[in-house]
Amino acid sequence: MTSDMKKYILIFFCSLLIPFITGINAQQVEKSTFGTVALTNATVETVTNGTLQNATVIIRDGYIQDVGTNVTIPTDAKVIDCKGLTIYPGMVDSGTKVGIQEIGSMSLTQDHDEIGEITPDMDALTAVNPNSVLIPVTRISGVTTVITYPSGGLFPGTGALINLQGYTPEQMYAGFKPMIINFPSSGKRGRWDRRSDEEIKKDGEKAVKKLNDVWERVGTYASIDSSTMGKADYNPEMAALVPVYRGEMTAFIEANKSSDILAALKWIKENKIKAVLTGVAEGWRVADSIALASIPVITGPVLGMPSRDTDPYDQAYKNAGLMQKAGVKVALRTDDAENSRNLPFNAGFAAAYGMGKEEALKAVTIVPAEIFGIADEVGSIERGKKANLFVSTGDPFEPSTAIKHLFINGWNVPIESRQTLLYDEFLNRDPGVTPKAVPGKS
Amino acid sequence: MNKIFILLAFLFLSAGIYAQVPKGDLLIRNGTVLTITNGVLEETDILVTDGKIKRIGKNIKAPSDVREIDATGQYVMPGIVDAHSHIAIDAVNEATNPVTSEVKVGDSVDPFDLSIYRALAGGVTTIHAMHGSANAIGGQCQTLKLRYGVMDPSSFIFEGASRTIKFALGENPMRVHGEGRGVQPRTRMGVERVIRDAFQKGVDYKKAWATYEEKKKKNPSATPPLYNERYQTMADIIDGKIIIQCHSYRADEILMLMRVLGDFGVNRITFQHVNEGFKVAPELAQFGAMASVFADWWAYKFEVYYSTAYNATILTRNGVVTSINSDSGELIRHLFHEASKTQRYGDLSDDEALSLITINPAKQLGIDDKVGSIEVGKDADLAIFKNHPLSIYAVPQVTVVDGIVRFDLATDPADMRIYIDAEEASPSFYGQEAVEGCLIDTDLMFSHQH
Amino acid sequence: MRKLLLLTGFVLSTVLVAFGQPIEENLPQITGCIALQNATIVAAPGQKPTKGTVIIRDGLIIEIGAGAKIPTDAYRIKADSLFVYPAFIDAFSYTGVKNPEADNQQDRSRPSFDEEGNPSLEDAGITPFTTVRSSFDPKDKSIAEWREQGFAIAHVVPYGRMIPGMGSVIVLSGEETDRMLWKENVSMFGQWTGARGAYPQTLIGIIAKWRELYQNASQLAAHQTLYKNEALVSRPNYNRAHEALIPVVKREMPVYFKAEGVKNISRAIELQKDLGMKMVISSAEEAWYFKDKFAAGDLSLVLSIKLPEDKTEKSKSDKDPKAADTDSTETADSTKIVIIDLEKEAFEKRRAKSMLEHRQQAGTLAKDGVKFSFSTMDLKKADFMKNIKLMLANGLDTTAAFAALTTQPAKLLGIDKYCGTVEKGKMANLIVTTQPMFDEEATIQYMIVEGALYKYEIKEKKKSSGKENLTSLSLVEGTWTYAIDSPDQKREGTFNFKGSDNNIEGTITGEDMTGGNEELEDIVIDGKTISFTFDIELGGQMITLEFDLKVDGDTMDGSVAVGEFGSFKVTGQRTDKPE
Repeated sequence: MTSDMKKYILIFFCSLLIPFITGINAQQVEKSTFGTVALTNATVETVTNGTLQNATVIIRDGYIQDVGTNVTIPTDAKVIDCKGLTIYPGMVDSGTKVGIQEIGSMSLTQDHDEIGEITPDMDALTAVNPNSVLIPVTRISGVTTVITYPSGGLFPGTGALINLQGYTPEQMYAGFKPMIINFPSSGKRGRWDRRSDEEIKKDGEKAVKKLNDVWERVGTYASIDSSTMGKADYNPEMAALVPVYRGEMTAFIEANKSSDILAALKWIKENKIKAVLTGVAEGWRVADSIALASIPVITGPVLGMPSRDTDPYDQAYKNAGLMQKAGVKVALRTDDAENSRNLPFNAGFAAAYGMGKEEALKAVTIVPAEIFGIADEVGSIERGKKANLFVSTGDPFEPSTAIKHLFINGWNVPIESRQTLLYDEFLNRDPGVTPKAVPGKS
Repeated sequence: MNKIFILLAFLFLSAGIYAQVPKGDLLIRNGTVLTITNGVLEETDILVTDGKIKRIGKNIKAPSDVREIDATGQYVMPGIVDAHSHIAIDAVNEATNPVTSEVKVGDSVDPFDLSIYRALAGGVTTIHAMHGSANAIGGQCQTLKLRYGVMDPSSFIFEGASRTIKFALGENPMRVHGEGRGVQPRTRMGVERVIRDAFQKGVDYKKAWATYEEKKKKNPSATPPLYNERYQTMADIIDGKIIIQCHSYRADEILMLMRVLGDFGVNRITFQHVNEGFKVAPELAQFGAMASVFADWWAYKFEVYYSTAYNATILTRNGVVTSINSDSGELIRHLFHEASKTQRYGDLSDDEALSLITINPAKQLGIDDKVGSIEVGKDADLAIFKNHPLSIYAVPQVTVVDGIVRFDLATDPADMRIYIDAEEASPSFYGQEAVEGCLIDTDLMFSHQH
Repeated sequence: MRKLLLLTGFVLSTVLVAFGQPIEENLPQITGCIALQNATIVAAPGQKPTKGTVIIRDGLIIEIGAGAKIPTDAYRIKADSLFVYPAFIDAFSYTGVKNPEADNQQDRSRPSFDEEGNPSLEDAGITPFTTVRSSFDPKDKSIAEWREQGFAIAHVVPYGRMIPGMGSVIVLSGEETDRMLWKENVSMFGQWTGARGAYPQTLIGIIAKWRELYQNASQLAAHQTLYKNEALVSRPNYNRAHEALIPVVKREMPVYFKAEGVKNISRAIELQKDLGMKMVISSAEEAWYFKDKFAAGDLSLVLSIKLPEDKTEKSKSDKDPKAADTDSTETADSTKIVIIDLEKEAFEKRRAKSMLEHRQQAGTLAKDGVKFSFSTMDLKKADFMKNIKLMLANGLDTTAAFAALTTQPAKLLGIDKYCGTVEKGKMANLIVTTQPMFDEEATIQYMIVEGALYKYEIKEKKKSSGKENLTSLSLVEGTWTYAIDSPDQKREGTFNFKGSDNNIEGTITGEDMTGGNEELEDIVIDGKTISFTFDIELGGQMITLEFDLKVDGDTMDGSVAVGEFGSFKVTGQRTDKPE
């Protein structure tokens, strides 16, 4: 049997399996490969150093070994001619449930919402399923890296920055974990929320009190913990929050209503916390305050509804641009799971509604890298950075653009997901209609 | 601030409850016209008279009092048709019986729904307002024109549109009735049974009335059967007077319904959502069934786990008349973008992609003789864009319904509410979630299940 | 003494007594004849006041005029400084009618269905055969309450859902149902309230059901004629709802359709257009949108006296203006504040306009020649005169206001021959006031309802001491364990009550109450009972649990109503009581 035939049989066999595979199994047919690769004759959007024409990118040992127009191609390199194609750094979705949620309506396939209001010791990375069907679907859009984070309660836990490639959570982990804090909201939770304004106000005040109570306890715990008297008692919740209390760990603070954003800024300042605001749906109303506080922002989805009936229909599209123009450091998120692949389209809408292409691209590449403190590793195409990049037929925000090659951590990842495999199988179904089995003609 | 009052004043001029459906005259100058059915016409004018497209051509002259819109450098496409929506109605699910064919969502039109304006701002001019998916046979749907600003609910009705009715297969009716109320159907087998029963009742009902009419000829005092709108509606479906719009996901249930319909001689159907339509595309094509799909929604429940965003492409390539719909007050604002995704997930041409949100949904609703393309004689429902509507950078500029400008970015005020709640002391914050969906009113606690 | 001081007794026994509350006294009637001597009489809306004496005997006005001779057996009231008006007629209300659903919350079982999944007529809320009589209570306190506001006659309807039943005209005086129900079954009551957990639940179900009921009632009406006349006709297969709707189909009985907001009114009008019944749009709060419809006379109109509450006025008077909305505080630069304020200003402008439109409704309609009556349905009695005066301040003239409370409803109900004005031969339904009717200072001194005399005295009541409240805290103070008997399982947890006499605080714990302690709200102690509410979030829905418990020493029992899911038994035991 030739190797081609083997491959064919393997593909055929695997495609037969597809309908029966659940999220536990990988459905990858083609494996990712690791090695030295030279991407030649390409347009390179470096993000940090402008656009290079007719350039070469060398990938070796998982890193970008070289980039430029005058680059020596190593003899062992596999050369991929990228004539007419453009290389972009892998995009980063700064807020998702990828890896910890499989099916929306089935709670047992969801690992992001633990019982309890205060569970900061929950670590999303623990529950990341490297074989989630969602992962290949997401990455072949050029999204190589995502923050995945828990939800629910005041302190739902810590999120994790993961690359969308790897066999274990550890292999996927990209070196950053934020503490998630849902700042108490003084707004309605949705249109179904029938609480009166009074009740909402009361609930909000109660939640703020709870937040401050917890913080006071963390303070006490931290001082005992650092005193010469020795360790504090076992308390995983408090222990998890100590690094945030000491300003060593970044907190993602979710706040959306303008007054909540201002309250969160005040709280951040008072407690001297290293913080990033997330959500920030009404950031445009208080953009100057956010800029003044120098707190970076992760906002999205861009394709969202206006938060009030009196707001313009396109306010959510414009929000990111308005904040960025006011001097806020803005990264984007989809806040999605299965359709985190729409990150480039969210960025495209932000671009069209005031942010501009260049800034929108930064908001899904170098800006999140800076916010996470790993800008020396990812977020742009530069010598020495991790080889997280993709090759496309053009602007990745345009739906008509095709992604041709994908590299994550230097791995050459096939442009393939269960969705593309289903396409390949069913576009021209064989057999087509069986004459005897025509429905409706029985 | 003045802008608000000017535009509102304009809207209310044409308002007044129980007024005639307003129609307008308009000249759109020098746009790139995407006709859908007749290619792309560069630097072309469109003259609208009394709400209809009168002429398409170059350098058209119009009476001086006709409003002109300069579309130089912009794209003019037919108003977008959303084949699956739950906006603009106040009741979505009468979820108290697995068969409620007699209810009509058209009875609950909400002229004040802000989602209507937001849809207009995304170039949408016609929607198919649907009953929800709680029941195996839900209520009758209503095709509406988005005449936001008109106060009379009946003025939203799309005159001459086909009657349509919602069916629903799979998880939703199983959950609502089987799990929620302890009655059939709890399985896909039960769904078939419920639908067959209803059709049989329709057959019997039709027969009972025919017998009565016959008897009455000889005996004027014959007893008529009890009037039953539920089964009368089933009889109307059998008589081909109503197009079925069936919420469905899995390939098996799609095949099941086609078998049932075949048995009762029914052939007018559009499958809605139909995430696994791609698996049975040849069967759909052969039956003559149409399909209305999401661009890329999947994995929100188990029956859509084995989906592919290439669905629309596979269906189209197999000869199934396919549309892309929103089923959401958020998504309806960018259906043009949803259609463009078929160029990433399969290489549909511009015309093919745009057909998914114009002429194809129009065919599915029986209104393709009136809307869905830019042709002389059709309704002047038009959307003007900066940048090509399939580009991610497309921004809707003006939306026209029956020759009347209902959205204009240049004069768009923030606050477009018509009905004002006198007790709302300050604008409520709701967050960014859209509220519309297939399971509204079911009183069960699921969100995001379409 | 024929009548007891019933209401007086009631008021005294209640803890909550406001200052200056009038005390009603149904005067002993020795003679059955009353003379209002030398009063200022306004005989009908729009008429000039005249000085004269009104003689009443056996429930009727027998003589009016300056020279009216006072019978020797008359109970004389010196009315030189008093004003006499025709008493009010309430066009649409629940006065005197009990709400059966409110009473037996615990009995609410799930509806049962037939083979086709259809509920019984009762579970469907389709009970057009129901009469007011079955739920009328002559001792219901609402009768005295509305009489005190000036009402002598009311058109009342039974509680229910889609078609609760038929309305009757009652006299707001008397002790016996037979006597008080004056004209029975004069109308059909319809509304946009769906069944609980059964068809029709939503407005689209209700409309579809109306179409079907109407068609079948029409068929039945036609058939009944045939069934009578022809020998060989099979017995028609209809139900009692169809039967009860025949007068509606024949347009002999109007449908009072409760439709408050603009959309509900427009849908009711559509239904009328579609089916063709006689319809009275009732309890309307936003009818000005449709003034052309009513001007044409196709439909009749009963306006609600309810007005939207101005919540901005409340927040304006808040002590801390900043707390009202923190959106504009602490912004970085001042220009932003200006923009936000502009936005708020525009919002407020539109809200205020809407508020004004509501207040102007009656005035606007009256100016356009639309005839309407007033309804007190769902109205707080304290708002009655307050809101009428707000309408008067916003364009309604006193004649139209008066007509809407007297001659208009009389005409609408077909009783204008008997009441609505002060005329010889009419029913003796009179309001006697100290000042002209709508004056700021005016108070009702006497009500005469079908000749029965009620006197109101303004008595200063002492505010109740804190003693009652002191016992309230001790009634429940401490920690309790509770158990809720829900169908699937027993739910257990604890309550804790503490605080001060005037401010009792409570918390609840339980397995489903995520996040530990939760605060109880709306805690009210009344004698030996305590009620409170508690909100939980269930899968994205806010549901309010309403507890109602009777305390006996260290045990309590009662019920908890859980939204639409019904009501469950609760028992509790005190485990800890502070000294």
